[in-house]
Amino acid sequence: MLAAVGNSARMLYGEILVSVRGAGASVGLLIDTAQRLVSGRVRIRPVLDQMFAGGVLTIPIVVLVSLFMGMVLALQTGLELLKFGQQDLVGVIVSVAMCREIGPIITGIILSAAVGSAMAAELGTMSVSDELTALDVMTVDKTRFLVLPRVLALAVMCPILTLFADLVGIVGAGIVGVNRLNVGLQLFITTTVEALRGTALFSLPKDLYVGLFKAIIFGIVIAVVGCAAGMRATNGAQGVGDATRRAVRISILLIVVLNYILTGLFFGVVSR
Amino acid sequence: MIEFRDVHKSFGDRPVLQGLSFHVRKGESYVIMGPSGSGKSTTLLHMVGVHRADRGRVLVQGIDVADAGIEELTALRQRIGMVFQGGALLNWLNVYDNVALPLRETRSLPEAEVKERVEEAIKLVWLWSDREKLPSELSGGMRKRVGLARAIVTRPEIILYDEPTAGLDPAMSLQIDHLILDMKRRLGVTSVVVTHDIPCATRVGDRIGIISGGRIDVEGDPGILDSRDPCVLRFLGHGSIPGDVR
Repeated sequence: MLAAVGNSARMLYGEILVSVRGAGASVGLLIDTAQRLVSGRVRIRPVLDQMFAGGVLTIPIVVLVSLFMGMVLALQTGLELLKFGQQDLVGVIVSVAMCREIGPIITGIILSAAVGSAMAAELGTMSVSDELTALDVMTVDKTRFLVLPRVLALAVMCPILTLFADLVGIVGAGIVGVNRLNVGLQLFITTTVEALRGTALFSLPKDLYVGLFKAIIFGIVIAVVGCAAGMRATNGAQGVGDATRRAVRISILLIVVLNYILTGLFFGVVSR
Repeated sequence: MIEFRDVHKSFGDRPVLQGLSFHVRKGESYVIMGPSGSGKSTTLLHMVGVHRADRGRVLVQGIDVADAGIEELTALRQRIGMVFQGGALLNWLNVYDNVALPLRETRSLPEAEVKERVEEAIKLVWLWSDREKLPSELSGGMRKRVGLARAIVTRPEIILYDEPTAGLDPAMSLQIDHLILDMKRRLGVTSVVVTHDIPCATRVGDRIGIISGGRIDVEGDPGILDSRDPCVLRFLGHGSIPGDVR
């Protein structure tokens, strides 16, 4: 029993160590990528290719998940609000929740699982099949050639997908609000728009632009973590699998932590 | 041209190179042979600074690779071409773009010159009609030839070959050997070939060194493979099978 606990603790310690090293490598790669961005030309074609592979192909899953997230959120909050006769507020609650938190988080997690993992697997396979070594020997700058297009692509596509997620989630809430909670469509639209109007910057609701800003950060994190994990892969197919798992684990963890920090920065702490 | 002086390298607690010393003259084809895991490929990667020696010196064109800075190493690597065992081609680029990659990414050449040099390199390995194909559509031998075209497109002074004939049938191995000889004859390059394919070694090598225990055990012209030297016999596996089934 004690031995089993000891083994588990050792494994957990090893995992934490690997994750910390992975996060450290990601920070180094992020700095490298930023330097490449400011110090030279960016080829548009690879960025567009990555935007398509990493973003456009992910639209269906983001739309589906967001639709059902919006619907379930409306159902759960609506049923509680119904007890107080306040179900008309469902649009307010869901739209604010989707734009501030759920849209960016859901998009970030989906992109981590679908795109960050693919980046780690792709670069990991390149690593274990000597392709990265070949790039080194040819003096091709791996960060500029492989990482920068992926980071730029997700920095653009993550907020676009988040916008989709926000809109579709609100539509899902509208469907449930109108059909299950008997909220009038016009009332749902009016209360939603009013809720989002709040403090606007250049006519852009704060709830929306903070969410989109978070999405840009999440996109960068997912791409950098995926690339860093892949580029450090060793030990054949098993190493590629490990790199992929590590990329998803670290990026989701970072998304959740950064989300809290960014929320704190933009919305402040509640004073007593 | 290339000189290893008492080079030691370990990975973790596993020593791979233990006092490796040899030299390769300008324009020569030097073949490194040895059993799997004896450090042949590691030796090649020391020449381009992918691995750094723990101890000893690796001199390539007078530059100490183990101590070279980034800029010096980059300049050196641009004078070296390397052919990897599996080709190491980028799977999303076709043959033409794979070969053009080092020119487009590391040299500021006009596209017309890139085209001219890529065409020349691909034609040298007889793959011009396959230039639009992706690596996944090529056979193992074709991938190695693309790798060779990519290595020579930058007009290097040294070409390193890592197991150029591994996994190929005899006819394709012969083709690759002729290509290696052709590169030496036409381009006058210095070659270092890592292989355990004896016909390949005898065809392309001016000198052969056999690695064992992390150092060159025996060295000489291709005739050494016919000698009764115990190191050669050990490498060739003579007497290693109980009852000598041969």
